[in-house]
Amino acid sequence: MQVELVNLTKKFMGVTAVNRINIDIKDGEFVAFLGPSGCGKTTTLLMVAGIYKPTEGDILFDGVRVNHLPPKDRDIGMVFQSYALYPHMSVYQNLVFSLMLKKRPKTEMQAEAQRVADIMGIGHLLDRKPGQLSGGQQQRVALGRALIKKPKLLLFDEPLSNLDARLRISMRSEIKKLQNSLGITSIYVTHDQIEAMTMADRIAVIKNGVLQAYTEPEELHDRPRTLFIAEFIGNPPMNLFDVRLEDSGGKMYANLGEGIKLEIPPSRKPKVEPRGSVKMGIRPQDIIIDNNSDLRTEILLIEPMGRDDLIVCRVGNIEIHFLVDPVLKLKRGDSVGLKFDMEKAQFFDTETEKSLLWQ
Amino acid sequence: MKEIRSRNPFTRSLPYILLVVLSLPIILGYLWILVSTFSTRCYGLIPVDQQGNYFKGLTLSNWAFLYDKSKTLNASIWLLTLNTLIIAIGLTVGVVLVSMMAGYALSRIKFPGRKSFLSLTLILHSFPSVTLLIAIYFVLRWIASVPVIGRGIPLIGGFGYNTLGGVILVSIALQLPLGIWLMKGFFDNVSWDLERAALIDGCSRWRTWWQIMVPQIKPGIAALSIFSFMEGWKSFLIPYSFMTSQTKATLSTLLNEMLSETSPVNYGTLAAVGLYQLIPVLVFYIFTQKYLLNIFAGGVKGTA
Amino acid sequence: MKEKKEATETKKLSTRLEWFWFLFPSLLLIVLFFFLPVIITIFVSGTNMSSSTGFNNWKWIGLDNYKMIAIHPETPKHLWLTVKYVAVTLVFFNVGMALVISLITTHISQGAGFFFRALWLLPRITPTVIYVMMWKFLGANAPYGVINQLFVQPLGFTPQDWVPAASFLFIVLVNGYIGASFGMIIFTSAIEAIPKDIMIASLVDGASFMQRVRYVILPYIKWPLLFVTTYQTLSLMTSFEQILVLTNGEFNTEVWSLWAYHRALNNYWGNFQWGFGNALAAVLVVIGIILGIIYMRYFKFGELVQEPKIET
Ligand SMILES: Nc1ncnc2c1ncn2[C@@H]1O[C@H](COP(=O)(O)OP(=O)(O)OP(=O)(O)O)[C@@H](O)[C@H]1O
Ligand SMILES: [Mg+2]
Repeated sequence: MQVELVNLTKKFMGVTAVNRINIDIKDGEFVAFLGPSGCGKTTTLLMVAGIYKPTEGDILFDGVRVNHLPPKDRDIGMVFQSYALYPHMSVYQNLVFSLMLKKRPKTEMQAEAQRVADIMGIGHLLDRKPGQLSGGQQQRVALGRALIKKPKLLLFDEPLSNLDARLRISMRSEIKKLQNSLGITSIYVTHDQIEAMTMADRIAVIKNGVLQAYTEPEELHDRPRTLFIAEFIGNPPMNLFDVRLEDSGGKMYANLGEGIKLEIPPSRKPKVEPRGSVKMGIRPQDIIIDNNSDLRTEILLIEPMGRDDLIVCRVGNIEIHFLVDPVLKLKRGDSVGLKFDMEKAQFFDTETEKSLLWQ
Repeated sequence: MKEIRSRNPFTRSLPYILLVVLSLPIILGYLWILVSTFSTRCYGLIPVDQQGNYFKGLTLSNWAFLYDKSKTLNASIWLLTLNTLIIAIGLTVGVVLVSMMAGYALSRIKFPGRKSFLSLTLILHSFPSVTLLIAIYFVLRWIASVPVIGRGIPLIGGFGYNTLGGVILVSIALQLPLGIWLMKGFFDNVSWDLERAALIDGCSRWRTWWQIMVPQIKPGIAALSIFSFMEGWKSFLIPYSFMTSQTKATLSTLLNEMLSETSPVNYGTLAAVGLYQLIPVLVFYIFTQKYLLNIFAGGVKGTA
Repeated sequence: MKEKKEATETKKLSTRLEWFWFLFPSLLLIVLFFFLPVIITIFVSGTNMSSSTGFNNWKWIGLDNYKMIAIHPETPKHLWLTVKYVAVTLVFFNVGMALVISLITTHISQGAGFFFRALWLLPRITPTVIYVMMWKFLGANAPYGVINQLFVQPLGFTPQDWVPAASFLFIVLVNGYIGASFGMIIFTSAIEAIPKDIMIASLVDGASFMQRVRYVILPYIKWPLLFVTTYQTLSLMTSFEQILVLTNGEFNTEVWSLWAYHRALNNYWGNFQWGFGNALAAVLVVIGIILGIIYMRYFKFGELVQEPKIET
């Protein structure tokens, strides 16, 4: 099913939770809503589900306006963060509840329950009550319950955030595979950017109820259009420096102060004249150790992050974060030389918070 | 809370002594009813026989009222028990059902005037409903004049004046503000996602209410049921005011009638009838104190 | 923008009015047994309706019933009794005793505390007639009465039938022993909610029990105290069931609400003065409505209300 949100707005007693959001989702697409807590992701999703009524704007399913359609007529399935299984019913009853409401014959219900149970691997749990299941098992049942209806649209509201880290990773790929094979249009709400980046075809980044960007994951990561996206996407977060842009001898330099002056390659020359001062961004993985470099600094702090170590160091008032391979066995106080991969640098206008590179 | 520790045994037992002294009327009252139920007569708490010999005259004859109508002003104790039971059950079913419906709507549905209705429930909750008894008499007289509903229904008589149904209806109404407020509170604590899931699965609001929400508030329903049953079982003023024959109404009204006609000499039967009515209440109370404690405070805990 | 189709709305009127049907039974009962009675009370209080006029031959007499109350020779008696009864019961039992019991039971072992609180709840759950019967027998004349046997005779006083002899004391006791449990429950949970470290700090500071009560506990339960006081004032002022059973208003125990009840519904002469009785009741109804509204404002119940998070 194709879904379209047009100028979608929701106000709660005068407070705007969602502000004129425009999103179109292609049939079979997997879209993630990503944003910090309280930005209006759930509110948007619940409007799509028909639980909340939009204050303004429209929701279109396959081109048909469904603003006033009650949830039960929307042909959707939803998976909640809290699982929201019916505690007083067995797993089987939970699964077939929607079919029961449609008065389907018993044999069909059993067959469908079996089918979904097989997909989700919960066949052995059918007689249990939700209270007797682990969190991961409950989430599988919840997913099964959403799937059994063969919905045209699947809604996920942070379905994995109550699970432990390992389970989260395996469920992540499982959901993605499932969605791929079934081809059901899906909206997936999360505040975990790795989840969004790895699962979604497109990501809608929302901040304070306003849509910041709606595009593919690589695009978001490599060509952030606003300062907010640059800061928000990527882990560890991007370094941001206040810089002065200087032209000399046909070349352009970014002057960070403290005597640091970096040459900007032609591909990264700002295409727009900044209105205010400029911020330069560079991701920690795009700064490498090069002991031939003039830019020397002393290591202040080492944070192991698993595959890499995050190094914090300082030049004058400028704090720089970058990633190194732990095999280098760097220690606090070591002196290192740094090289910025300026082919990956980003530039932003601090006044408009817009990128000077991508429009 | 920490116990007061003191080396002096007197200071340590002081709170207990004080409590026992203050509680004496309750303790003595219950002791008395127990002793005199099984005695020919009682001098204070001491059973005596016809001749006044101390510690004699233990008997079961006070329980003769169970089959001997003459002991209970010629009223059939079984009919009265049935009536009392009907009132108690009617009140329970009515209050629980009606409160569950209203409590759900107030807690969960958006509609115009929701806030006002809630405030109204609260005002009625603290409103002294007994002051309306006189006017309710008029309402019941009016309902009685409505055909069939008034006084043409088997078992409960109808819903008008001088019918069990009327007594039940008034009792339900007066209990309603408490019931609604309580049920609303219980519904408030059910997860929103659960209800959303049900709506998405295809439930109407009615089905969600009955099949999904009501099962989640079973403890609340149990508490309100027990409380209402006890209130109905012991109710006195309403049947006394709106049933014309005190010996054909409820156990309480019969007992009141007997109480005003009996001399202290014959309190044995009275005590036995009293204990007979008291036993179910006590049994309920012993097993359900935890549930009840909340309601006795009127569901107002934590509001002040 | 392209042409938009609207999904056929399956939403019928019945679905939009769902909330109404959920509320319908309670609305009906509230109208029948709260609204209508309030109106009837006020309306009938303006008439001379009585069992002799019947429901048909009554006259509209305006405020005459209220004037009659003002000049009635018994008014000062009933009024003074009511004030005295409410004040004494409230101070000594519904608040005083409730406080004492909850203070003691929260400072002894948990099991014992629970037991005594359960004991104090018994009067509330006991059917009124049985409960009053117990009191009657406690106060009965010698040789039957328990009070005479245990206290009066051993101390050498003359035994007597105490209910008529000390009728005021008895109506206070009978109601007080029921009323105390309401405050007891509320105070107990309030005291138990006082942060433990504050209580322990006061112990460490070497505060005596009384000092602790005065400086630690009382300030903490100010609101519950106020709540119980106001709530119970109203309830004492208007309830009369126990007095009705105990003395039926004899021996100078006819409080205002019982007076109204007797006049309108239940008297020896079978002459039911509905107009006058309703005027007496109307006074209480009006006080009840005003206090009810004030409580709601004052105790901010409204702030507990949350908005529904489903809007279908
Ligand atoms: N029913 C409601 N009534 C009033 N305000 C609400 C309601 N639901 C949400 N809000 C407010 O709207 C804003 C957006 O809430 P929403 O639940 O959509 O955030 P979210 O992006 O899902 O956050 P999270 O990641 O924490 O779940 C918040 O400020 C929230 O307080
Ligand atoms: Mg959310």
